[in-house]
Amino acid sequence: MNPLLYILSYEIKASTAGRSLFLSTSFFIIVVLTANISMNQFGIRADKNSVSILWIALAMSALLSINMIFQNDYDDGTLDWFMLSPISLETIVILKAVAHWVTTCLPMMLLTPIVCVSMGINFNSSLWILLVMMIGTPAISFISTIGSALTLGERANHLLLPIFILPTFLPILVFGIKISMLVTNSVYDSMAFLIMLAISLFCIAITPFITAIIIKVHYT
Amino acid sequence: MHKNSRSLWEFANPKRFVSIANKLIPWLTICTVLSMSVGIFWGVFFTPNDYRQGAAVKIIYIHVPSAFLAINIYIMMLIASVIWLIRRHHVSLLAAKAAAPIGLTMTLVAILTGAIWGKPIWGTYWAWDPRMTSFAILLMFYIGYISIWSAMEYNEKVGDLSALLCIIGSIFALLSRYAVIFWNQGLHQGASMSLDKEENISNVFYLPLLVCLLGFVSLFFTLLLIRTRTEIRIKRTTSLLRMN
Amino acid sequence: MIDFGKYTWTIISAYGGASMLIIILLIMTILKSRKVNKELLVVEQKKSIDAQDD
Repeated sequence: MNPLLYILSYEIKASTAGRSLFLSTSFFIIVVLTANISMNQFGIRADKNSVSILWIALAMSALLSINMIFQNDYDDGTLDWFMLSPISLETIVILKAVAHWVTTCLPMMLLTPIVCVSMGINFNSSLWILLVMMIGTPAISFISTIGSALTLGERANHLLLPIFILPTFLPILVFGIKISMLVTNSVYDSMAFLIMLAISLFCIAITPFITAIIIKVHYT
Repeated sequence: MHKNSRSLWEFANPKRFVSIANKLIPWLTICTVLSMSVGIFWGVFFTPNDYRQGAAVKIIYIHVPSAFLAINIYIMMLIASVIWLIRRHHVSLLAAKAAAPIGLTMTLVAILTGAIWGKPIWGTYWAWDPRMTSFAILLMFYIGYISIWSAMEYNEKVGDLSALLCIIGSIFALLSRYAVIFWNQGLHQGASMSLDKEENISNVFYLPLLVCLLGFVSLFFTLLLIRTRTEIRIKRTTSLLRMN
Repeated sequence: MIDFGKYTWTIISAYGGASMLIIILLIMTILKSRKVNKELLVVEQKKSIDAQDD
Protein backbone atom coordinates (compact mmCIF):
# COMPACT_ATOMS: atom_id res chain seq x y z
CA MET A 1 0.00 0.00 0.00
CA ASN A 2 1.15 3.48 -0.78
CA PRO A 3 2.58 5.01 2.45
CA LEU A 4 0.78 8.31 1.89
CA LEU A 5 -2.57 6.56 1.52
CA TYR A 6 -1.79 4.48 4.58
CA ILE A 7 -1.06 7.59 6.68
CA LEU A 8 -4.23 9.24 5.39
CA SER A 9 -6.40 6.27 6.31
CA TYR A 10 -4.64 6.03 9.67
CA GLU A 11 -5.43 9.70 10.34
CA ILE A 12 -9.06 9.34 9.34
CA LYS A 13 -9.43 6.22 11.48
CA ALA A 14 -7.78 7.94 14.45
CA SER A 15 -10.09 10.92 14.32
CA THR A 16 -13.26 8.88 13.83
CA ALA A 17 -12.27 6.54 16.66
CA GLY A 18 -11.78 9.48 19.03
CA ARG A 19 -15.45 10.48 18.82
CA SER A 20 -14.41 13.97 17.64
CA LEU A 21 -16.39 13.35 14.45
CA PHE A 22 -19.59 12.80 16.42
CA LEU A 23 -18.89 15.68 18.82
CA SER A 24 -18.09 18.35 16.24
CA THR A 25 -21.06 17.39 14.07
CA SER A 26 -23.44 17.49 17.02
CA PHE A 27 -21.95 20.81 18.13
CA PHE A 28 -22.69 22.20 14.69
CA ILE A 29 -26.30 21.02 14.80
CA ILE A 30 -26.80 22.29 18.35
CA VAL A 31 -25.42 25.77 17.60
CA VAL A 32 -27.53 26.19 14.48
CA LEU A 33 -30.69 24.89 16.18
CA THR A 34 -30.21 27.02 19.30
CA ALA A 35 -29.68 30.15 17.23
CA ASN A 36 -32.71 29.47 15.04
CA ILE A 37 -35.05 28.58 17.89
CA SER A 38 -34.06 31.55 20.05
CA MET A 39 -34.34 33.95 17.11
CA ASN A 40 -37.83 32.68 16.30
CA GLN A 41 -39.02 33.22 19.86
CA PHE A 42 -38.19 36.91 19.59
CA GLY A 43 -40.18 37.27 16.43
CA ILE A 44 -37.14 37.46 14.21
CA ARG A 45 -37.77 34.86 11.56
CA ALA A 46 -34.62 32.95 10.71
CA ASP A 47 -34.21 34.07 7.14
CA LYS A 48 -31.74 34.14 4.30
CA ASN A 49 -29.40 36.41 6.23
CA SER A 50 -29.06 33.90 9.04
CA VAL A 51 -26.90 31.83 6.72
CA SER A 52 -24.06 33.60 8.56
CA ILE A 53 -24.93 31.53 11.64
CA LEU A 54 -24.23 28.47 9.55
CA TRP A 55 -20.72 29.68 8.75
CA ILE A 56 -19.92 30.77 12.29
CA ALA A 57 -21.16 27.43 13.62
CA LEU A 58 -19.00 25.68 11.06
CA ALA A 59 -15.90 27.64 12.05
CA MET A 60 -16.55 27.05 15.76
CA SER A 61 -17.04 23.32 15.35
CA ALA A 62 -13.89 23.11 13.26
CA LEU A 63 -12.13 24.84 16.18
CA LEU A 64 -13.40 22.18 18.60
CA SER A 65 -11.38 19.44 17.01
CA ILE A 66 -8.33 21.53 16.16
CA ASN A 67 -6.22 20.75 19.18
CA MET A 68 -6.54 17.04 18.44
CA ILE A 69 -4.78 17.32 15.07
CA PHE A 70 -1.26 17.06 16.47
CA GLN A 71 -1.68 16.77 20.24
CA ASN A 72 -2.19 12.98 20.45
CA ASP A 73 0.62 12.30 18.01
CA TYR A 74 2.86 14.64 19.97
CA ASP A 75 2.04 12.92 23.26
CA ASP A 76 2.52 9.32 22.12
CA GLY A 77 5.57 9.98 19.93
CA THR A 78 4.01 9.36 16.53
CA LEU A 79 5.08 12.87 15.55
CA ASP A 80 8.72 11.98 16.34
CA TRP A 81 8.37 9.07 13.97
CA PHE A 82 6.92 11.37 11.31
CA MET A 83 9.86 13.75 11.80
CA LEU A 84 12.34 10.91 11.22
CA SER A 85 10.48 9.34 8.31
CA PRO A 86 11.61 10.03 4.72
CA ILE A 87 8.25 11.65 3.97
CA SER A 88 8.58 15.41 4.36
CA LEU A 89 6.78 17.08 7.24
CA GLU A 90 4.89 19.32 4.83
CA THR A 91 3.32 16.25 3.21
CA ILE A 92 2.29 14.94 6.63
CA VAL A 93 0.67 18.30 7.38
CA ILE A 94 -1.26 18.18 4.10
CA LEU A 95 -2.46 14.64 4.88
CA LYS A 96 -3.52 15.71 8.38
CA ALA A 97 -5.41 18.69 7.02
CA VAL A 98 -7.17 16.51 4.46
CA ALA A 99 -8.09 14.04 7.20
CA HIS A 100 -9.39 16.89 9.35
CA TRP A 101 -11.46 18.15 6.43
CA VAL A 102 -12.92 14.71 5.69
CA THR A 103 -13.83 14.00 9.32
CA THR A 104 -14.96 17.48 10.45
CA CYS A 105 -15.98 19.71 7.58
CA LEU A 106 -17.42 17.15 5.19
CA PRO A 107 -20.11 15.78 7.57
CA MET A 108 -21.18 19.31 8.44
CA MET A 109 -21.38 20.24 4.77
CA LEU A 110 -23.54 17.21 4.06
CA LEU A 111 -25.91 18.38 6.79
CA THR A 112 -26.09 21.89 5.34
CA PRO A 113 -28.97 21.32 2.83
CA ILE A 114 -31.11 19.89 5.65
CA VAL A 115 -30.27 22.75 8.02
CA CYS A 116 -30.94 25.28 5.26
CA VAL A 117 -34.52 24.06 4.97
CA SER A 118 -35.11 25.10 8.60
CA MET A 119 -34.00 28.61 7.68
CA GLY A 120 -36.39 28.91 4.79
CA ILE A 121 -33.71 28.66 2.12
CA ASN A 122 -34.78 26.74 -0.96
CA PHE A 123 -32.98 23.60 -2.02
CA ASN A 124 -31.41 25.13 -5.11
CA SER A 125 -29.74 27.91 -3.11
CA SER A 126 -28.59 25.45 -0.48
CA LEU A 127 -26.71 23.52 -3.17
CA TRP A 128 -24.95 26.77 -4.12
CA ILE A 129 -24.10 27.36 -0.45
CA LEU A 130 -22.69 23.84 -0.41
CA LEU A 131 -20.46 24.80 -3.34
CA VAL A 132 -19.24 27.93 -1.53
CA MET A 133 -18.48 25.81 1.53
CA MET A 134 -16.65 23.35 -0.68
CA ILE A 135 -14.37 26.23 -1.71
CA GLY A 136 -13.97 27.68 1.78
CA THR A 137 -13.74 24.78 4.22
CA PRO A 138 -10.46 23.24 2.94
CA ALA A 139 -8.77 26.54 3.78
CA ILE A 140 -10.31 26.41 7.26
CA SER A 141 -8.91 22.91 7.77
CA PHE A 142 -5.48 23.93 6.55
CA ILE A 143 -5.37 27.07 8.71
CA SER A 144 -6.44 24.94 11.68
CA THR A 145 -3.19 22.99 11.47
CA ILE A 146 -1.30 26.24 12.23
CA GLY A 147 -3.24 26.70 15.45
CA SER A 148 -2.83 23.09 16.45
CA ALA A 149 0.92 23.25 15.90
CA LEU A 150 1.30 26.59 17.74
CA THR A 151 -0.18 25.33 21.00
CA LEU A 152 1.41 21.86 21.06
CA GLY A 153 2.08 20.68 24.58
CA GLU A 154 0.27 23.63 26.16
CA ARG A 155 -2.13 22.81 28.97
CA ALA A 156 -4.34 25.84 28.38
CA ASN A 157 -4.47 25.39 24.62
CA HIS A 158 -8.22 24.98 24.32
CA LEU A 159 -8.55 28.54 25.64
CA LEU A 160 -5.57 29.96 23.80
CA LEU A 161 -6.38 28.51 20.40
CA PRO A 162 -9.59 30.35 19.43
CA ILE A 163 -8.03 33.68 20.36
CA PHE A 164 -5.57 33.60 17.52
CA ILE A 165 -7.15 31.12 15.14
CA LEU A 166 -10.66 32.58 14.76
CA PRO A 167 -9.33 35.91 13.39
CA THR A 168 -7.34 34.04 10.74
CA PHE A 169 -10.60 32.53 9.44
CA LEU A 170 -11.82 36.06 8.69
CA PRO A 171 -10.98 36.30 4.97
CA ILE A 172 -12.74 33.02 4.27
CA LEU A 173 -15.70 33.89 6.50
CA VAL A 174 -16.14 37.37 5.01
CA PHE A 175 -16.28 35.98 1.49
CA GLY A 176 -18.18 32.82 2.36
CA ILE A 177 -20.96 34.59 4.23
CA LYS A 178 -21.35 37.40 1.70
CA ILE A 179 -21.45 35.04 -1.28
CA SER A 180 -23.89 32.71 0.49
CA MET A 181 -26.17 35.65 1.25
CA LEU A 182 -26.03 36.83 -2.35
CA VAL A 183 -26.73 33.30 -3.56
CA THR A 184 -29.88 33.02 -1.43
CA ASN A 185 -31.03 36.25 -3.06
CA SER A 186 -30.27 34.72 -6.49
CA VAL A 187 -27.28 36.94 -7.19
CA TYR A 188 -24.31 35.02 -8.61
CA ASP A 189 -21.11 37.07 -8.48
CA SER A 190 -18.56 35.00 -10.39
CA MET A 191 -15.77 37.51 -9.62
CA ALA A 192 -16.30 36.99 -5.88
CA PHE A 193 -16.30 33.22 -6.38
CA LEU A 194 -12.96 33.39 -8.14
CA ILE A 195 -11.41 35.67 -5.52
CA MET A 196 -12.61 33.39 -2.74
CA LEU A 197 -11.12 30.43 -4.58
CA ALA A 198 -7.86 32.38 -4.86
CA ILE A 199 -7.79 33.17 -1.14
CA SER A 200 -8.58 29.57 -0.30
CA LEU A 201 -5.85 28.24 -2.58
CA PHE A 202 -3.38 30.79 -1.21
CA CYS A 203 -4.08 29.61 2.36
CA ILE A 204 -3.76 25.97 1.30
CA ALA A 205 -0.47 26.74 -0.46
CA ILE A 206 1.28 28.52 2.39
CA THR A 207 -0.01 26.77 5.52
CA PRO A 208 1.80 23.39 5.18
CA PHE A 209 5.15 25.19 5.12
CA ILE A 210 4.28 27.44 8.09
CA THR A 211 2.96 24.50 10.11
CA ALA A 212 6.04 22.41 9.33
CA ILE A 213 8.29 25.26 10.52
CA ILE A 214 6.27 25.58 13.75
CA ILE A 215 6.47 21.84 14.45
CA LYS A 216 10.24 21.90 13.88
CA VAL A 217 10.44 24.71 16.47
CA HIS A 218 8.95 22.33 19.03
CA TYR A 219 11.68 19.78 18.34
CA THR A 220 14.75 22.03 18.58
CA MET B 1 31.68 42.56 12.47
CA HIS B 2 34.39 45.10 13.27
CA LYS B 3 35.03 45.83 16.90
CA ASN B 4 34.98 49.58 16.45
CA SER B 5 32.25 49.77 13.86
CA ARG B 6 29.22 51.58 15.17
CA SER B 7 26.10 50.02 13.79
CA LEU B 8 22.56 49.14 14.71
CA TRP B 9 23.68 45.71 15.89
CA GLU B 10 25.35 47.27 18.93
CA PHE B 11 21.84 47.39 20.39
CA ALA B 12 21.78 43.61 20.12
CA ASN B 13 24.06 43.35 23.13
CA PRO B 14 21.67 43.49 26.13
CA LYS B 15 24.19 45.25 28.40
CA ARG B 16 25.00 47.87 25.77
CA PHE B 17 21.28 48.27 25.09
CA VAL B 18 20.49 48.94 28.75
CA SER B 19 23.29 51.50 29.10
CA ILE B 20 22.21 53.32 25.93
CA ALA B 21 18.57 53.15 27.03
CA ASN B 22 19.47 54.63 30.41
CA LYS B 23 21.08 57.59 28.67
CA LEU B 24 18.27 58.07 26.15
CA ILE B 25 15.22 57.74 28.40
CA PRO B 26 15.49 61.14 30.20
CA TRP B 27 15.96 63.00 26.90
CA LEU B 28 13.10 61.16 25.26
CA THR B 29 10.87 61.89 28.25
CA ILE B 30 11.63 65.62 27.99
CA CYS B 31 10.99 65.50 24.23
CA THR B 32 7.67 63.67 24.78
CA VAL B 33 6.39 66.04 27.44
CA LEU B 34 7.44 69.15 25.51
CA SER B 35 6.15 68.20 22.10
CA MET B 36 2.92 66.64 23.34
CA SER B 37 1.98 69.61 25.51
CA VAL B 38 3.01 72.15 22.87
CA GLY B 39 1.26 70.23 20.08
CA ILE B 40 -1.97 69.65 21.95
CA PHE B 41 -2.17 73.20 23.36
CA TRP B 42 -1.42 74.66 19.97
CA GLY B 43 -3.93 72.38 18.30
CA VAL B 44 -6.73 72.74 20.79
CA PHE B 45 -6.57 76.44 21.67
CA PHE B 46 -4.81 78.20 18.79
CA THR B 47 -6.26 76.72 15.62
CA PRO B 48 -9.50 77.77 13.95
CA ASN B 49 -12.47 75.41 13.67
CA ASP B 50 -12.96 73.41 10.53
CA TYR B 51 -15.65 74.89 8.30
CA ARG B 52 -17.56 71.63 8.12
CA GLN B 53 -16.79 69.79 11.35
CA GLY B 54 -16.59 72.75 13.71
CA ALA B 55 -14.56 72.26 16.87
CA ALA B 56 -14.81 68.46 16.65
CA VAL B 57 -11.80 68.58 14.34
CA LYS B 58 -9.57 69.08 17.39
CA ILE B 59 -9.77 65.35 18.14
CA ILE B 60 -7.44 64.59 15.22
CA TYR B 61 -4.48 65.69 17.35
CA ILE B 62 -4.74 62.42 19.24
CA HIS B 63 -6.69 60.31 16.76
CA VAL B 64 -4.28 60.52 13.83
CA PRO B 65 -1.01 60.01 15.80
CA SER B 66 -2.43 57.06 17.75
CA ALA B 67 -3.76 55.43 14.59
CA PHE B 68 -0.40 56.03 12.90
CA LEU B 69 1.38 54.37 15.84
CA ALA B 70 -1.09 51.48 16.05
CA ILE B 71 -0.26 50.38 12.51
CA ASN B 72 3.45 51.16 12.62
CA ILE B 73 4.03 49.40 15.94
CA TYR B 74 2.71 46.21 14.38
CA ILE B 75 5.11 46.68 11.46
CA MET B 76 7.92 47.29 13.95
CA MET B 77 6.99 44.08 15.80
CA LEU B 78 6.99 42.23 12.49
CA ILE B 79 10.48 43.51 11.61
CA ALA B 80 11.79 42.73 15.11
CA SER B 81 10.34 39.21 14.91
CA VAL B 82 11.97 38.58 11.55
CA ILE B 83 15.31 39.85 12.92
CA TRP B 84 14.92 37.45 15.85
CA LEU B 85 14.19 34.50 13.54
CA ILE B 86 17.19 35.26 11.33
CA ARG B 87 19.88 36.63 13.67
CA ARG B 88 18.70 35.31 17.06
CA HIS B 89 19.16 38.60 18.94
CA HIS B 90 17.22 38.39 22.19
CA VAL B 91 16.85 42.17 22.45
CA SER B 92 14.96 42.19 19.16
CA LEU B 93 12.50 39.57 20.42
CA LEU B 94 12.08 41.34 23.76
CA ALA B 95 11.48 44.65 21.97
CA ALA B 96 8.67 43.03 19.97
CA LYS B 97 7.22 41.61 23.19
CA ALA B 98 7.50 44.99 24.91
CA ALA B 99 5.92 46.88 22.01
CA ALA B 100 2.73 44.80 21.82
CA PRO B 101 0.89 46.34 24.84
CA ILE B 102 1.80 49.83 23.62
CA GLY B 103 0.35 48.98 20.22
CA LEU B 104 -2.78 47.60 21.85
CA THR B 105 -3.25 50.80 23.87
CA MET B 106 -2.74 52.97 20.79
CA THR B 107 -5.29 50.89 18.85
CA LEU B 108 -7.77 51.35 21.69
CA VAL B 109 -7.08 55.10 21.81
CA ALA B 110 -7.58 55.40 18.05
CA ILE B 111 -10.84 53.42 18.17
CA LEU B 112 -12.12 55.35 21.22
CA THR B 113 -11.38 58.82 19.87
CA GLY B 114 -12.70 57.84 16.46
CA ALA B 115 -15.94 56.60 17.99
CA ILE B 116 -16.41 59.76 20.07
CA TRP B 117 -15.68 61.89 17.02
CA GLY B 118 -17.98 59.82 14.82
CA LYS B 119 -21.07 60.31 16.96
CA PRO B 120 -21.66 64.03 16.21
CA ILE B 121 -20.16 63.95 12.69
CA TRP B 122 -21.44 60.69 11.21
CA GLY B 123 -24.30 60.22 13.67
CA THR B 124 -22.99 56.86 14.90
CA TYR B 125 -20.32 55.65 17.27
CA TRP B 126 -19.38 52.70 15.15
CA ALA B 127 -19.93 51.67 11.56
CA TRP B 128 -18.33 48.69 9.85
CA ASP B 129 -16.44 50.91 7.48
CA PRO B 130 -13.23 49.29 6.09
CA ARG B 131 -10.82 51.45 8.03
CA MET B 132 -12.61 50.86 11.33
CA THR B 133 -12.86 47.18 10.52
CA SER B 134 -9.11 47.13 9.90
CA PHE B 135 -8.58 48.51 13.38
CA ALA B 136 -10.86 45.88 14.86
CA ILE B 137 -8.81 43.26 13.01
CA LEU B 138 -5.58 44.83 14.24
CA LEU B 139 -6.94 44.75 17.78
CA MET B 140 -7.63 41.01 17.49
CA PHE B 141 -4.12 40.25 16.26
CA TYR B 142 -2.56 42.34 19.03
CA ILE B 143 -4.63 40.40 21.57
CA GLY B 144 -3.56 37.11 19.98
CA TYR B 145 0.12 38.07 20.13
CA ILE B 146 -0.09 39.23 23.75
CA SER B 147 -2.04 36.14 24.79
CA ILE B 148 0.60 33.74 23.50
CA TRP B 149 3.18 35.53 25.67
CA SER B 150 0.93 35.63 28.70
CA ALA B 151 0.09 31.93 28.46
CA MET B 152 3.64 30.60 28.29
CA GLU B 153 6.90 30.99 30.19
CA TYR B 154 9.69 32.89 28.47
CA ASN B 155 12.05 30.69 26.50
CA GLU B 156 13.46 30.55 23.00
CA LYS B 157 10.75 28.19 21.79
CA VAL B 158 7.96 30.55 22.80
CA GLY B 159 9.97 33.36 21.22
CA ASP B 160 10.00 31.49 17.91
CA LEU B 161 6.29 30.73 18.20
CA SER B 162 5.38 34.34 18.94
CA ALA B 163 7.56 35.60 16.08
CA LEU B 164 5.89 33.16 13.70
CA LEU B 165 2.48 34.16 15.04
CA CYS B 166 3.34 37.80 14.34
CA ILE B 167 4.22 36.96 10.72
CA ILE B 168 1.13 34.78 10.23
CA GLY B 169 -0.99 37.48 11.85
CA SER B 170 0.26 40.14 9.46
CA ILE B 171 -0.48 37.93 6.44
CA PHE B 172 -4.02 37.19 7.59
CA ALA B 173 -4.67 40.74 8.81
CA LEU B 174 -3.80 42.04 5.33
CA LEU B 175 -5.94 39.36 3.66
CA SER B 176 -8.89 40.19 5.93
CA ARG B 177 -8.45 43.89 5.29
CA TYR B 178 -8.63 43.48 1.54
CA ALA B 179 -11.48 40.99 1.84
CA VAL B 180 -13.42 43.67 3.70
CA ILE B 181 -12.47 46.39 1.22
CA PHE B 182 -13.63 44.19 -1.65
CA TRP B 183 -17.19 44.23 -0.33
CA ASN B 184 -17.32 47.69 1.19
CA GLN B 185 -15.65 50.76 -0.20
CA GLY B 186 -16.28 52.77 2.93
CA LEU B 187 -17.18 56.28 4.04
CA HIS B 188 -13.85 57.53 5.47
CA GLN B 189 -12.37 60.63 3.94
CA GLY B 190 -9.13 60.22 1.96
CA ALA B 191 -5.73 60.26 3.59
CA SER B 192 -5.30 63.41 5.61
CA MET B 193 -1.54 63.54 5.73
CA SER B 194 0.18 61.59 3.00
CA LEU B 195 2.92 63.30 1.07
CA ASP B 196 1.84 62.47 -2.44
CA LYS B 197 -1.80 63.48 -2.34
CA GLU B 198 -3.19 66.90 -3.09
CA GLU B 199 -6.19 66.75 -0.82
CA ASN B 200 -4.08 67.14 2.33
CA ILE B 201 -5.46 69.15 5.19
CA SER B 202 -4.38 72.75 5.35
CA ASN B 203 -1.22 73.98 7.07
CA VAL B 204 -3.15 75.44 10.01
CA PHE B 205 -3.94 71.92 11.20
CA TYR B 206 -0.91 70.23 9.67
CA LEU B 207 1.85 71.85 11.76
CA PRO B 208 0.40 71.20 15.25
CA LEU B 209 -0.51 67.70 14.05
CA LEU B 210 3.14 67.10 13.13
CA VAL B 211 4.23 68.25 16.60
CA CYS B 212 1.70 65.89 18.19
CA LEU B 213 2.92 63.09 15.96
CA LEU B 214 6.47 63.74 17.15
CA GLY B 215 5.19 63.67 20.73
CA PHE B 216 3.42 60.34 20.26
CA VAL B 217 6.40 58.77 18.47
CA SER B 218 8.76 59.83 21.26
CA LEU B 219 6.23 58.58 23.82
CA PHE B 220 6.33 55.25 22.04
CA PHE B 221 10.13 55.14 22.05
CA THR B 222 10.30 56.12 25.73
CA LEU B 223 7.85 53.40 26.71
CA LEU B 224 9.51 50.90 24.39
CA LEU B 225 12.95 51.51 25.91
CA ILE B 226 11.61 51.26 29.48
CA ARG B 227 9.65 48.10 28.73
CA THR B 228 12.46 46.42 26.83
CA ARG B 229 14.86 47.27 29.67
CA THR B 230 12.36 45.67 32.08
CA GLU B 231 12.16 42.54 29.93
CA ILE B 232 15.96 42.30 29.77
CA ARG B 233 16.14 42.58 33.55
CA ILE B 234 13.48 39.89 34.02
CA LYS B 235 15.47 37.61 31.75
CA ARG B 236 18.67 38.35 33.67
CA THR B 237 16.97 37.72 37.03
CA THR B 238 15.58 34.37 35.96
CA SER B 239 18.88 33.26 34.47
CA LEU B 240 20.74 34.28 37.66
CA LEU B 241 18.24 32.34 39.76
CA ARG B 242 18.56 29.33 37.51
CA MET B 243 22.34 29.28 37.97
CA ASN B 244 21.93 28.58 41.69
CA MET C 1 -12.27 78.68 29.68
CA ILE C 2 -12.77 75.40 27.87
CA ASP C 3 -15.69 76.04 25.59
CA PHE C 4 -16.12 74.56 22.13
CA GLY C 5 -19.81 75.11 21.72
CA LYS C 6 -21.80 71.95 21.20
CA TYR C 7 -18.62 69.88 20.87
CA THR C 8 -17.25 70.66 24.36
CA TRP C 9 -18.15 67.28 25.84
CA THR C 10 -17.08 65.42 22.73
CA ILE C 11 -13.61 66.90 22.95
CA ILE C 12 -13.29 66.57 26.72
CA SER C 13 -14.39 62.92 26.71
CA ALA C 14 -12.09 62.05 23.80
CA TYR C 15 -9.06 63.66 25.43
CA GLY C 16 -10.01 62.32 28.87
CA GLY C 17 -10.50 58.76 27.64
CA ALA C 18 -7.32 58.77 25.57
CA SER C 19 -5.19 60.22 28.35
CA MET C 20 -6.66 57.72 30.83
CA LEU C 21 -5.69 54.77 28.63
CA ILE C 22 -2.20 56.14 28.06
CA ILE C 23 -1.72 56.92 31.76
CA ILE C 24 -2.78 53.38 32.72
CA LEU C 25 -0.14 52.02 30.32
CA LEU C 26 2.43 54.47 31.69
CA ILE C 27 1.76 53.57 35.34
CA MET C 28 1.84 49.84 34.62
CA THR C 29 5.13 50.24 32.73
CA ILE C 30 6.78 52.25 35.50
CA LEU C 31 5.53 50.03 38.35
CA LYS C 32 6.70 46.87 36.61
CA SER C 33 10.04 48.47 35.80
CA ARG C 34 10.60 49.41 39.45
CA LYS C 35 9.54 46.02 40.77
CA VAL C 36 11.79 44.15 38.36
CA ASN C 37 14.69 46.48 39.08
CA LYS C 38 14.41 45.81 42.81
CA GLU C 39 14.24 42.04 42.28
CA LEU C 40 17.30 42.12 40.07
CA LEU C 41 19.25 44.15 42.65
CA VAL C 42 18.34 41.67 45.41
CA VAL C 43 19.37 38.69 43.30
CA GLU C 44 22.63 40.34 42.24
CA GLN C 45 23.52 41.21 45.85
CA LYS C 46 22.83 37.65 46.92
CA LYS C 47 25.04 36.49 44.08
CA SER C 48 27.95 38.67 45.15
CA ILE C 49 27.61 37.57 48.81
CA ASP C 50 27.63 33.96 47.70
CA ALA C 51 30.72 34.63 45.62
CA GLN C 52 32.50 36.18 48.63
CA ASP C 53 31.64 33.16 50.79
CA ASP C 54 33.22 30.89 48.23
